[in-house]
Amino acid sequence: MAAGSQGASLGLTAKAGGLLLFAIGLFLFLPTVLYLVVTMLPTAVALVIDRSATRSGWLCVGGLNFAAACPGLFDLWFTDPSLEYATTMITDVFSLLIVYGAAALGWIIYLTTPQIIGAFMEMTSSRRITRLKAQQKQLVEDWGSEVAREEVE
Amino acid sequence: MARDGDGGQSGKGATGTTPILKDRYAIFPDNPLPDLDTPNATAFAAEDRRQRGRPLFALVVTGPLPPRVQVMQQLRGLRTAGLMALVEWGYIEWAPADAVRVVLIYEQPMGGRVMKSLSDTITPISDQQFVKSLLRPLCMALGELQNHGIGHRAVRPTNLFYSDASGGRIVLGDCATGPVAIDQPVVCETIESGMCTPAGRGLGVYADDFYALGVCAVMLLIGRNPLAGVSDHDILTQKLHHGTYATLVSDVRLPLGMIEIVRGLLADDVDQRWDFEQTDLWFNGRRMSPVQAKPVRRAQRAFVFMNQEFFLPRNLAHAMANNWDKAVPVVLEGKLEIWLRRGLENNQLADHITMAIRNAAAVGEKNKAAFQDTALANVLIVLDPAAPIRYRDFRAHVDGFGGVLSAQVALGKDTRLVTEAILRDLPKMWLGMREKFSPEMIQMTSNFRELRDYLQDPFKKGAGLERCLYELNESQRCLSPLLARDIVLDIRDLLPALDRTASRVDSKTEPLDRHIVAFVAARYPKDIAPQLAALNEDDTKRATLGMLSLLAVLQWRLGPEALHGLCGWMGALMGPIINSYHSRARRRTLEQEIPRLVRKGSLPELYNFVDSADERRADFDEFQRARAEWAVAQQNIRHLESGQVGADENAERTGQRLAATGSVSVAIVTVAVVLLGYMF
Repeated sequence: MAAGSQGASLGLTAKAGGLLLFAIGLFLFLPTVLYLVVTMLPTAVALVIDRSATRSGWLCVGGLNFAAACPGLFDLWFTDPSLEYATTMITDVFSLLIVYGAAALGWIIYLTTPQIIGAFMEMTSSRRITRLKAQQKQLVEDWGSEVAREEVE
Repeated sequence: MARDGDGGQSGKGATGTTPILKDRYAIFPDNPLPDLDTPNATAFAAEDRRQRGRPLFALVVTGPLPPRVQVMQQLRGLRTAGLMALVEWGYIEWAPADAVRVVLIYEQPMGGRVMKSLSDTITPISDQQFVKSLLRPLCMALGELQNHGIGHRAVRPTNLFYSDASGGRIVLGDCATGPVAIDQPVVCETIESGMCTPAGRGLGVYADDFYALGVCAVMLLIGRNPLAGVSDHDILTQKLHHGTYATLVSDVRLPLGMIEIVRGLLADDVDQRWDFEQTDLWFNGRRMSPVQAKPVRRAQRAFVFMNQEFFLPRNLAHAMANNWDKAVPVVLEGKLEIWLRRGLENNQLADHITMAIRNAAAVGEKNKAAFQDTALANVLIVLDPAAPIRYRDFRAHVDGFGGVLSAQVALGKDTRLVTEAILRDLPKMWLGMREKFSPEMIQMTSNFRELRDYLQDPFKKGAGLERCLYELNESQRCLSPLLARDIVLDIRDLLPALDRTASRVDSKTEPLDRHIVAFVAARYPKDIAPQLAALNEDDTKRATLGMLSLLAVLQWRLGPEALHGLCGWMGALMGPIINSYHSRARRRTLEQEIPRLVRKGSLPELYNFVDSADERRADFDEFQRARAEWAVAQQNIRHLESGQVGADENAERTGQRLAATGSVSVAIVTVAVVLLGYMF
């Protein structure tokens, strides 16, 4: 009982610590956070709406999303890490279009790759079945129909 | 046919029409000599090509019954006064029958047959001339035959010949062209032998020939058959009731000096009957006390059967045997036993009767009729142990079973009674009732037990009736229809005969039928049980292999070196063996190789090739591997086919993971590139 209450209080402390750190981060890196919140929005949406088996849609979307957003992020960090510059960047429609386009491409890749893989796998197994059946036919020709019994003595 | 030096070789003359035996003796089929015919052979004129003018004639065995080949082998070249000399014997291609036949070349008796039939009347021969010129040479001849282990068993007036035209000397005629004693009239046979069916008399004992000689002596001395016109049944009955001597001589006058020897020769008790030694003593002037019949124990009161009174068990047994169905209830109701105890006062005999009936119950096969017949047969053996085995209409001595079986088979008659007699252990019962022990009896008991085993397995090749036939008859030729044109008596002659047959038969016919297998099993001295077992398998492949194996063993052990016809015949039957290999490639190889082996004519090589242990093992192992391969392939196919159902799900998962991995990789690379751009 004592141990249970001790564990619960520890989790609560961690959550509180986390929130505190986020608040400090938000305060210290507000331009970065603002930029990332706006540009990585498709990834967050993908994380919420993804119902696939592997639930890895956000990774696919997020990867390309971040790849497109990272030049702007580094520009913010190394040129002018101010809130104004961040605001200017997130209001640049062209830049946003590229970032969201990359995210959209990620989603498209995520949706089409399984179909391509499926088609490839199907093609490979059909060929194997054909080859195995030809092998069986040759065995029957060499040994007669009595070879075609599954129970092996 | 027999081999060179054994039976002789067949051949035809230079003209192609006159058969010549052993390149020496010409036989003229167009010149028959019916006066010299025997019941189972036809006589023809013959000529010795190396000694022209020598009076010879040939007896060609044209009848269905088997001749006594062993006797021919021993008689050839045996020359003694009183015996028609067998000059040569062998086999010839006999064109009138389009088959091979046994032929015997005899010196021709120039004076003809002494009596043409038993009802003939001839001039009586005076006793002085009779003893010196006729009886003594005949006794010498029988003695000489006895020394060679031969029983003549065809001593009868109609088989005696004047060897010269003047009629001064008489010789015994042929005894080898037919089964032993089969042509003997009942009057010339002892009581026990006369009770048998003619084919069932068996070789008997040497004294039986002297008995027949005694009968001949009476007929020659009085010039007729004293029992002419009397039926065989009545002759037997009279002999049983009065004895042979009294039956034959009661109404005739014999020369006084002949009475002693005739009485001695006609003694019904075989122990008292004169044989060669006693007749020789008599010829040399020694006179002995006349033979007196042993007193027989008679019953105090008669046993009435079929309205006849019987005082002696032997006579009663004879009457019962002749009235089989009426005798059965008499025996089983116990009246006989009571008579034996009270009338004959012979408790031991009565006890034996009880035992005989109990034995019948043991072997009666739970069949009432079988039990009754067996019981009566056993009882008759007990009542008259010297008599032959009597079983319904079957009557034979134990050494006559083979003769009966052989004759019945040769004549196409029913063999049921012979086989039943063996199956119901009657020979064992008969042998068990002998008073004197003989080691031969143990052998005979064992032989009949084996015969019984063969008969209990009637459908098996190498057993059944055929096996009994060849086991019981050493002189029995193989009766296979495949060998109808040949005479196969010796196991060594079988393969050459089959080789010749190969060209005449449909190649789908199997070369080993029931007769041939039984013949081989009976004649081949080594163990062929594995081959026989394989032959009898239901599986065609194993049966064909067994057949080939048996023939290969025979060729390997007995030759000849090459048998092209038989090899070709067997080669055509190899289908099941070839098909027993799994590998189609091996089958093709076998099919291609067999004709080459057939051309070599070697059955052992053919057998070793088609049933090589290494090839069999390799075929089996490879086949097992092939089956395993097939099964694995089948399993994979099934997995692949069932895998397609879940393929979409797998592909989706894989695709999603792949896409995510690729996307993250792109992000990392981009970060790295951009970062490097800022740094440098």
